[in-house]
Amino acid sequence: MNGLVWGLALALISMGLSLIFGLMGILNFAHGGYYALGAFIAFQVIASGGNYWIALVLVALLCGILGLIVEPTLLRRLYADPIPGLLLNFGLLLIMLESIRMIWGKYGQPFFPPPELDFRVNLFIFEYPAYRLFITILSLAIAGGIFLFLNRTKSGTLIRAGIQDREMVQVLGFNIGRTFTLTYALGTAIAGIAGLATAPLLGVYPEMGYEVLILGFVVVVVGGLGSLRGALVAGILIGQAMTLPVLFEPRLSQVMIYVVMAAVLVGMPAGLFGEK
Amino acid sequence: MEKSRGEIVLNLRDFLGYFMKYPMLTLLLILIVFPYITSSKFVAADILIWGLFAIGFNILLGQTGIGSFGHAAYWGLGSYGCALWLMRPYGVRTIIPLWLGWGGLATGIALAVLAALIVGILGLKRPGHYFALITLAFAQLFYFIFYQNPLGLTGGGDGIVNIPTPPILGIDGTVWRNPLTWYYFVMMVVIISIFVARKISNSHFGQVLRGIRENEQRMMLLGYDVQRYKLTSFMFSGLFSGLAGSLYTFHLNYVGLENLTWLASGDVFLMTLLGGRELFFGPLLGATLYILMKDSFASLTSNWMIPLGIVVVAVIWSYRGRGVLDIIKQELDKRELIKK
Repeated sequence: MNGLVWGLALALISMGLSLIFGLMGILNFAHGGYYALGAFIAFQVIASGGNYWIALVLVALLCGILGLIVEPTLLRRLYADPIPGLLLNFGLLLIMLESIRMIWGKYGQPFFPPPELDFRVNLFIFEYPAYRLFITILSLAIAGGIFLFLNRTKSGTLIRAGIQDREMVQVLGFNIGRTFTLTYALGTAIAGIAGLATAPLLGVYPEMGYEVLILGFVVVVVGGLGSLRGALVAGILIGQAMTLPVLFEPRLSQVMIYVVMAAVLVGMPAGLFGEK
Repeated sequence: MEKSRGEIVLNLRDFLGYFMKYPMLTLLLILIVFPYITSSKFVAADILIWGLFAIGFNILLGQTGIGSFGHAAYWGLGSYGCALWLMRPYGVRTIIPLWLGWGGLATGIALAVLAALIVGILGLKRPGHYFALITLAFAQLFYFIFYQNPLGLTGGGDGIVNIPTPPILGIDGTVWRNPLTWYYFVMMVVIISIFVARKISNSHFGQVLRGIRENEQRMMLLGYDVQRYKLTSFMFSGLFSGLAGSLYTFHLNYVGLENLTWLASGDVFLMTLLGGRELFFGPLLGATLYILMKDSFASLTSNWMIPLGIVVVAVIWSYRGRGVLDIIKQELDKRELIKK
């Protein structure tokens, strides 16, 4: 059950990564930065008297806006060759996490779930913290929202078309640049929300950005680069792989993840849902 | 007046041209005076070792055109391999004399090459992005294995400390640890390695690698076994990374998990892009600039990562992934063309 909650949160982050990779062909190393930034903005909002729900809105807005600024100014120049794009994002990640360290200190801060959700729910066989149920619902809602957005709206159709064939969309006269910006900002906003959502589970600390980024990549690779369904399924799978070994041999937990990943890559090179 | 000025410029060009004709000799001259320019001899040796790592990394990135985001694995395995040999666990210490400790270099290299072979066989058939992530995943796997320390050999999170320096030519190791002597020792090893790496790069084998970078399909149609060439290039890359890692163990008398983190993979990648991946010596310049900047920013602020990150991002952004040495060469070539 804990694996499911954690897995869904991972799936959220990975969906953003996967969307961005699918459309623009870059591995967005900066994603971990937006995730940590989301958590710390929320921490600041609550510390200065706001509540969790205001923080939720502000985090989505601020991370989204940052994405809106970064994509056209910094990344657009570099699409011709994936390697500089990847490294630029990595540089951004280092800058963002170090800035967080400078502003909020290098030690972790505690982060409490909102009081409205700070109780336990009786699930017939055992009691479960309501906040974890809330994460589950939030993740599923956002995932559902993304699916609806991609399948039912014009911008969503453009994104899907861009993933299929970027040049064709351009030739047909659509502004692919704007689609890129929109997708990137959507991804960063979701990363921020994920940071906020998981903050009460682990507290907030700068290194959370590094840790979640690597896990996100593992999920994306296992699910298949560019596949949203893959990200969702693989997120849950990796969540289980991380939490199940804890029951009998805690030391295996981290190693398990990479063993699963290596096994999937050797067995199914394109990942579970990848097209190839 | 005009004429004499022209002559001076011409002479300067001849002068530069002479040095560019014999780059290894030039490098040797620069490296001999290098420790007197940098802030400390320790930093100078540091730069050389990272420079060798970056050159090894660039055999794969620059020559073959394959980006790995897990090169910390080969650097880290090299450094741990060397440390394990030196610490000689399980009572082997009593059997083997200390001067054999230099065998640590060989152990480190062997471990790194073996790992590169395995990861290469499993990963090299995949397209670029997958390969970057596969190498990253394997580097993480090694990291966590060394962290969990199942055999009790690696020291877990503490690393291995107090690693002795073996004697060289019968003279006790501690004598060699005078900073300047140590720098020249490192310089010797690095120069020889660079010489070998350059020989490889200029050989037919190196040309095939560049062919694969430019057009893989054509090389395949010409009858080259592209997979085998890629794998060999990956192993060479692992070899030099492992050698650099082993040297680093001697350099610090210590090995820790930070050698295996993916941030070290990021460091060497940034160094290489900063210096330039197109020319053989680009990564060496990149490592020099990166470490010197890191050093001077660190003396100003504890958040040195921010200014360093900004400089690197700015270079990548403005030259679109070309490095400092690439741009210098381009400018020199342009001048040359105009003169002609």
